[in-house]
Amino acid sequence: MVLIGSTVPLTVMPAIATGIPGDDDGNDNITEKELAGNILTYMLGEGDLSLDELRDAAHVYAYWNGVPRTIVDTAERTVTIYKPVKKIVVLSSDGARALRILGDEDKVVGISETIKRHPYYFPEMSQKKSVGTWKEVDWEEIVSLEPDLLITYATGSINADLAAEKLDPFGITVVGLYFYVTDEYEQIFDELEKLAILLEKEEAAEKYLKWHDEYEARVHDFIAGKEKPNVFMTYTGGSIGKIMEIASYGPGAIDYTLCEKAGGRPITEDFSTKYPKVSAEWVLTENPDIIILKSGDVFGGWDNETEPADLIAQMMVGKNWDDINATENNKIYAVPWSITNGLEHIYGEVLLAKICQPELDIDPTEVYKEFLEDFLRVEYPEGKVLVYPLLAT
Amino acid sequence: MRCKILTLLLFLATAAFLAGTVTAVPGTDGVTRSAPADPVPGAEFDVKLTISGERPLVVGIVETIPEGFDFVSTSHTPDQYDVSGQKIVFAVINETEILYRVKASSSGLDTFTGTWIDMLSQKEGSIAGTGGIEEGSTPTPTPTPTPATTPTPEVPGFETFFTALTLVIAGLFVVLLRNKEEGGRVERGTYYLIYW
Repeated sequence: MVLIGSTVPLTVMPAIATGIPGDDDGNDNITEKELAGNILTYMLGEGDLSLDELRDAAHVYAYWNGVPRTIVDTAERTVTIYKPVKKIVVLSSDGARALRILGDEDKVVGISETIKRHPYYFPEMSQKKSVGTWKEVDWEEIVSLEPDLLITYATGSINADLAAEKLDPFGITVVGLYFYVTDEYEQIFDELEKLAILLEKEEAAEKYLKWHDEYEARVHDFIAGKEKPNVFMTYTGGSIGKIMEIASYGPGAIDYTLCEKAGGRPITEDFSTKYPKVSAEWVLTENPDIIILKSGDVFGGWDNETEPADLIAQMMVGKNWDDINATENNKIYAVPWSITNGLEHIYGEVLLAKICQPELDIDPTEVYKEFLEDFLRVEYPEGKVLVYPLLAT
Repeated sequence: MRCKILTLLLFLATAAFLAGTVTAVPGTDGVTRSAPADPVPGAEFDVKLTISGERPLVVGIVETIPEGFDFVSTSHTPDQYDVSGQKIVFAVINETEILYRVKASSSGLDTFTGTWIDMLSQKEGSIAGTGGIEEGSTPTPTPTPTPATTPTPEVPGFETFFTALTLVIAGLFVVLLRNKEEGGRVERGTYYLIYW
């Protein structure tokens, strides 16, 4: 596969003009008169539009009120769709999950290696053509797939601006959406709704958001007025036992927010940075009731209990945390990284709420099961460890 | 025996339900033509096209009137029809009826033909059969050649396949039941495979 540098122009395909098919005056509004005129010329065997283009024009007229669909993506770019999206290239597993939630995975014609590596979650999509990795893609391959839409991250190596620069001349629309929470939880909901607008899948997005909101309301109502346990949240890439400066989450960080939403009081509440480093002694002094350890390299849970148990054991090395409340009450938990940031983060919220308020009448596993089976439409993988140690239900 | 009859009825009901389910797709169901059975030679008469289906409707229609017949007029929106030789083309947008007037040839009877293409689905078909001006003629659901690109008729193809499959399975089922009752040599395993 030949990877093309950003300075090499793509010359393999002719440039394609954008606009609503059949919008003869080019004012981004196909009128009844324009549509009828194009139908008449087509039926007489004349005219420039193919039947597919004519059907696109009819679709825009009948279902979009004659005008294109426009959103502002997370890269703050105005993204306009002039005809129904039939083929998609998606470059992130987060975007791929959004497509499954919206029920549009059958439109995917190209993927990234990340998606290919997860056939369990993307049984059909993972079989599609790989166009590269998160940091390097084959632009010619993407163009040859003739997608209507490319979904990539707003920032990063293959960011939306770069992709648009490469693909705009070929009439391929680029949208920059993360589908993981980077700042505010509202962002991920906005992104799903925006993609739903482009794909005409508003009902599917609404279903997901309703499901999320119902669980969030139940958690919110349950924790109201309850005493909040002190929680220390940390994360690791596997070397946490070797360092004494421990990473954590301060006010403004997503995990901090999630902890508060779940009925806990983060012990880092007086810090002014989003990701403060703390010492083991400081944690000892704060004496948290609960410690949550997120693992950075786990997608969708562990296959056994040994790995998360080892992570916790590594974390405890040399820290003298034996006498803190969390240790004495067996309230130290390892959780997968994705549960707080991805589209399944309501599972993370319910899980943390259940840890902070064990009387909560929601089984977090059921929430995750619903996410997988009702929205990703894959079978719940029995035996996956989504929290260690397991919670009593 | 009673159990088997109930099972058969349940099976056929399920098959009918499934067959009905796949036909419930959006778009035009068809276009029919109504016209006098025996127009007076040389006289004018009306032809009515009825487009069935639910809105939104966007359909292209080509009517070909016989040689010797002349198009006279139509009540259809002026910029939504055109006439070229014996062809009258209509763009139908959210309407269910088209009326047009023609003048018959001196001999009277002849053949009208027509095709329609649904622009909001993959469906297309013929409007009427040949052999004279037929009153209330029904459409032929099979796709016909189009003026330009011919699409793949996704839904009708699947529908036909599914209906055929349903009938084959139902037929096999009935045969197996009969064989069983008559002491036919039906393997037990096979029997249960088809039976439930």
